[in-house]
Amino acid sequence: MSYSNVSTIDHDIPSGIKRWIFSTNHKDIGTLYLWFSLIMFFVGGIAALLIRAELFKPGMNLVTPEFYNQLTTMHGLIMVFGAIMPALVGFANWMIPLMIGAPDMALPRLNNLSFWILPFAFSILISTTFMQGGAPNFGWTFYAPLSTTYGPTSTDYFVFAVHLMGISSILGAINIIATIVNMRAPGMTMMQLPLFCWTWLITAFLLLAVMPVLAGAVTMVLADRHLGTSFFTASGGGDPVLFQHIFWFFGHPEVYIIILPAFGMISEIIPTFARKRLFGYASMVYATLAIALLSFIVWAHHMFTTGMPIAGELFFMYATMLIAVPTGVKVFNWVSTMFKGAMTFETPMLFAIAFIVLFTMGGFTGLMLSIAPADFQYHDSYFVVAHFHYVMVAGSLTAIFGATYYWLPKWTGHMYSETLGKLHFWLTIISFNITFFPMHFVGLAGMPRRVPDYALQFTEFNRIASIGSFTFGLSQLLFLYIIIKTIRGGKPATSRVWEGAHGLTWEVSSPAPHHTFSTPPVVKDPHG
Amino acid sequence: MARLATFVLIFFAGAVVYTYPNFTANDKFVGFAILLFVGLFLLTLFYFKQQLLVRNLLLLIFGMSGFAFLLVPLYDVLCDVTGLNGKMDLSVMAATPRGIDQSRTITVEFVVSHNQQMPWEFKPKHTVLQVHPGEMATTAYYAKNLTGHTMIAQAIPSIAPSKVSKYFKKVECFCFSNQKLGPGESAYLGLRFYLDPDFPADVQRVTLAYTIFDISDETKEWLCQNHSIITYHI
Repeated sequence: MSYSNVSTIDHDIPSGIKRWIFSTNHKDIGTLYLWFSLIMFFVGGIAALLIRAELFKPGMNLVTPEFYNQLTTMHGLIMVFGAIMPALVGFANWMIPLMIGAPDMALPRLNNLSFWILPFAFSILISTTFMQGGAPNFGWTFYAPLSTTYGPTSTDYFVFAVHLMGISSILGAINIIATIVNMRAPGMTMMQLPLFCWTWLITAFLLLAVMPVLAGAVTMVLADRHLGTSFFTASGGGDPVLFQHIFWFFGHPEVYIIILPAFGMISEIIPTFARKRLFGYASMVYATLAIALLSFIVWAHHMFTTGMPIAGELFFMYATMLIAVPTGVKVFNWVSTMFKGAMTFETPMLFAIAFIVLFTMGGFTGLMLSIAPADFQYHDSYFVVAHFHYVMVAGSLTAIFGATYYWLPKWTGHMYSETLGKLHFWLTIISFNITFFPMHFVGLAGMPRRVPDYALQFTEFNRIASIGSFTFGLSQLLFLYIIIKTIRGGKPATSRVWEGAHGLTWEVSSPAPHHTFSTPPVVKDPHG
Repeated sequence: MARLATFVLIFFAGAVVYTYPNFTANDKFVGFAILLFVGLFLLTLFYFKQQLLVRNLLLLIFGMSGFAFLLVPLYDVLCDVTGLNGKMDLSVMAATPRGIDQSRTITVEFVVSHNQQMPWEFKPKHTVLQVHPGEMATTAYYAKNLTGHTMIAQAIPSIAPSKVSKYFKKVECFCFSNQKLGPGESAYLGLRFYLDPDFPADVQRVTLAYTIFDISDETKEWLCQNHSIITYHI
């Protein structure tokens, strides 16, 4: 049965640049988000490769220490706010209306605005690189007083860019909540929602709760710089540690904003290729909720070394460890879904399995870092760098790769080349581990992060990591090639695409027509 | 009518925040920000009638925006109550403690840390004092302005371990006010304190650290009132 080819809206798809600038179509805006994030991924990747090139051998080789600091700052900001988050919003735009049988997002014009803010925000941010005094150099966490007393002039541009990103995220989140709550096809209950919608719904609430706090933090930085306040200066009655509290009150939920939609994608991919229903659907929903709620009471585990009282350290340590429980439920459910399933290993499934293995490793290093007395040793070392790249790259980014291959046939109407896809998978996963696994060792041995030079005994591991990173970076050109090749042609995809795929998305023909579900579909059992 | 009155009230509160003399720049900024978001919150609540879900989401956003600024006073209150972060009460204590606990002797260490951009000589007169809980003690810090122009400094204390900060009572301290020194001028800046008799039994050693900051640029003359009775210029 196909709902798709009946379009009740009789207008042509606008052509040329106007189609993209004025678009209110969720698929077009989703595509814009995804391309934008891919561009930002390469920009942030160039910064990463410059960092790794500098660290290829000890001593100052390629860039000045000042520029190195700017590189780490820009790499972090661009990857978090420019690559991962817009990619996730892009998937939400494309897939949520298709999954719940809605004709479009609930607030289509707002949707256009929330995307088109982003290019401006990142133009402002990236332009700081070419300003006198250089780009922001205080790390993506912009700790005071580095960003207040010692921040370069371009800090003000950074503040404005972060405000814009925040507005964009907030508008996007309102839209996603309104869509999921109001626009579900008749008969689809909340507990029948595909898990990707559930995780995004919860993520959207996290965004609404913490993006205003980030906006408050940058506003206070701006006020400290120009308006005579001293929120983060002790001499005027403020406290630099207050900045860290405010920042991490935003920052910790932010890392779940990055990972929860990835959990949703994995929960869609695994059942398809295991040809079984997702094991423990309800427990997945409640585990996601539990992770989201716990994320608000663990922020100070980023600050164990700021001189907290013992009681505070114990509280944040145990609260952080508690997060391992719902996360463990999720990993258990994914593995149980695969158990005794009729599994096949197409590229999306490979990425999903790699996600489970590598994300769990990142989770375990996170558990190590959560132990307050041990954290004093690990704090600000490359162990932390290894940890968060295992959860952000091997977690979020791997899920994004897998989900791209999973839904690419639905978007383009063509099957991608499975051979090239698998080649991309193996290159990515192997080079990822070559890059980041050695960082655990140098970190435990005491190599500090955010320093452009290192002690001689760390040379070999850094050399290995640099080689891995260039392999990783170049492998992503293959990803770009596969996407372009699939858009241009390939084996036509059926509407179901994957043998084990279930849900409304796969009732629509491939490629998904410009308008879908203009008349609401009948929902019987979205899992069946 | 009641709604209109609410906004008039918010406007009035803004005027009070603006004119209240004891408010620092921080307090004013936080006050304005919170009033702004309370205003936006109420505006949404009263006049956003159509999409109730979107209205509720907007309420969440404005509420959290206000909360972000509310964190500033909340943090101060929390630090005052718990002594978190080694922060000390900067108010003057009663000059007569109850009883002296002769059975215990606490080692009090005095250290300084220079703010990077503070070109003053600054050091404690005594690096260590032995005091009984409840006993009044007096010491001083030596400060010299090494530059060729008048500067104003503010000293910020910090206590380690932080849990005893609320038992460290200052009767008189140069950190209560700004310190102004002319070119090449030097002074002994006085400090009089006692340890509360309820001082925790498991602590034998306390470190009081002062960091001095150059606040010449930020300080208005009215702030600068050096009236410490035991500070004497040399």
